[in-house]
Amino acid sequence: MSDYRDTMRAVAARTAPDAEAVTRVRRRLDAQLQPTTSILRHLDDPSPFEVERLRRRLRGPHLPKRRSLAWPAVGLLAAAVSLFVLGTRSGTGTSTELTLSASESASVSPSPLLRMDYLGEGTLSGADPAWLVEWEHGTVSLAVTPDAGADVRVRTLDAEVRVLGTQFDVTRDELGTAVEVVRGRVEVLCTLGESAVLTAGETHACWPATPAGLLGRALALSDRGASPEARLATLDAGLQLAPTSDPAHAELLAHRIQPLLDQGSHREALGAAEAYLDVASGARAEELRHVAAHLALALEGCSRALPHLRGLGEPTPEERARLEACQPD
Amino acid sequence: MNNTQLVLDAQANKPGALGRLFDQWLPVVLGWCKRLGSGRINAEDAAHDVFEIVLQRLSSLRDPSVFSSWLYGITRRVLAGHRRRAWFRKWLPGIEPEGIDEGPSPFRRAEQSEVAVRVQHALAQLTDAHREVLVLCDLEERADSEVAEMLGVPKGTVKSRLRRARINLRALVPELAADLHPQHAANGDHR
Repeated sequence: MSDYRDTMRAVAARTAPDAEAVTRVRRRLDAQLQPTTSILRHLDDPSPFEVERLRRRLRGPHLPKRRSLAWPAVGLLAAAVSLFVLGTRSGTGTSTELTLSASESASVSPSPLLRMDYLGEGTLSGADPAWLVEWEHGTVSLAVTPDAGADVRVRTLDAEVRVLGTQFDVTRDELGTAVEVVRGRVEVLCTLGESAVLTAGETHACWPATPAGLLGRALALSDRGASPEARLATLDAGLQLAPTSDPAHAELLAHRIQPLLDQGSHREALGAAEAYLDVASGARAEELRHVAAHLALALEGCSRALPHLRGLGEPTPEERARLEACQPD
Repeated sequence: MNNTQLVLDAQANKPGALGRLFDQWLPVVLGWCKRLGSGRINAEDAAHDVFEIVLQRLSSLRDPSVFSSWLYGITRRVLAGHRRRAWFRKWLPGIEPEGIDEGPSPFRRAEQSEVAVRVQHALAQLTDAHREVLVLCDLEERADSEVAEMLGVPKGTVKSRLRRARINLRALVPELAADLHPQHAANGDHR
């Protein structure tokens, strides 16, 4: 018999969030702690409102300061390469369950049919000839003995990869799940519906399947300097999945502004800012109201800017002057 | 700094306060999402959604001292939404591989002698209410009174629900001994 409390503590330890997962979510949230008013730099040329002076004012004390990205070191985990092997006997044969967690490249070969090199986290379960890899994050490379009847599947939240005798890599990160076939043939079924059959040398990427996941992908694309078109495609895919009530909806709208400005689509950027203001409130909405007011003034003048100028909780002196100038007599 | 003051600072947009609030609560929320969600739910996306709502509604929280139960309530609703969407995905042709939510996979169904692994899988088979009370009371070792506040139910309800949840858990994992003091176990009082 097992000690109840010890067992529950063991379960708690097995299901505790790891530091890297916390970091990944935190990275997404950090994007929202940064002042949105940096967007206004896109009005530099041409700028009807002396953008430089305005930018200085917008950085004033009424706005939340940019938060330092300083993070507690996650180095404790970095050195850890752990592999928990729970080999068990079933009535029909040996069933294995492995918890895979490696911050440096590691290998495991649970059977002559299968060899795995991995860097990241997941689980491996099953017995010959059927194996299931449930992969959470990072890259796993599998070499499956061909023509030996092995049935190996790799499942992530974005995709399932089915294989009969081949060698391939599956990488899951903020961008989604990428599959690259080294040898043989695999079938990829993306959670969002598309599928592909890949042969050697081919790759396929499955995007994240949730609005928040797609927002994370857009932020990762931005960090990697991706084109505005690629970022917008991801954000728009997120919006298609996210009804107005979805928590990520407003943020997906807010993140459309920057790539639209990068494209030179100022009018659409104003539309995106206004769409955000239609559904959100709070400090971030106040910031975006500044952006909307200035874009509206630059693009269409007082008529479109007036509601935003009136809505500002703490207008700058220049915005106050604009508001007075725009007010009908 | 205590949590109530931190929430007040975050509500007042004091520099760095929101970041500190995230530092303090993100691991907790991510833990809830992992333990109370299921394999079909992306815990990181769910935790992200929870904090999206926190960012939008923090200013409307009138009593900062109840932040933890307010946050837990948001997490519950977000997880319910994610579960619902995962359930719908299952029925849309081509959206998700077949059989992904048919309980334990063939591999999982194989006998597993490691009790912690079996408990982890058994938790996923319990009702949401029973899983929730076991996670909060027995995995996270929170006091009954705190759990009662978080769930918005009387303390007695937490105890009785915990008692039934433990019985159901042990039915699924017979090796799990009733090693608590018999009277405490009967009362659902584990401290």
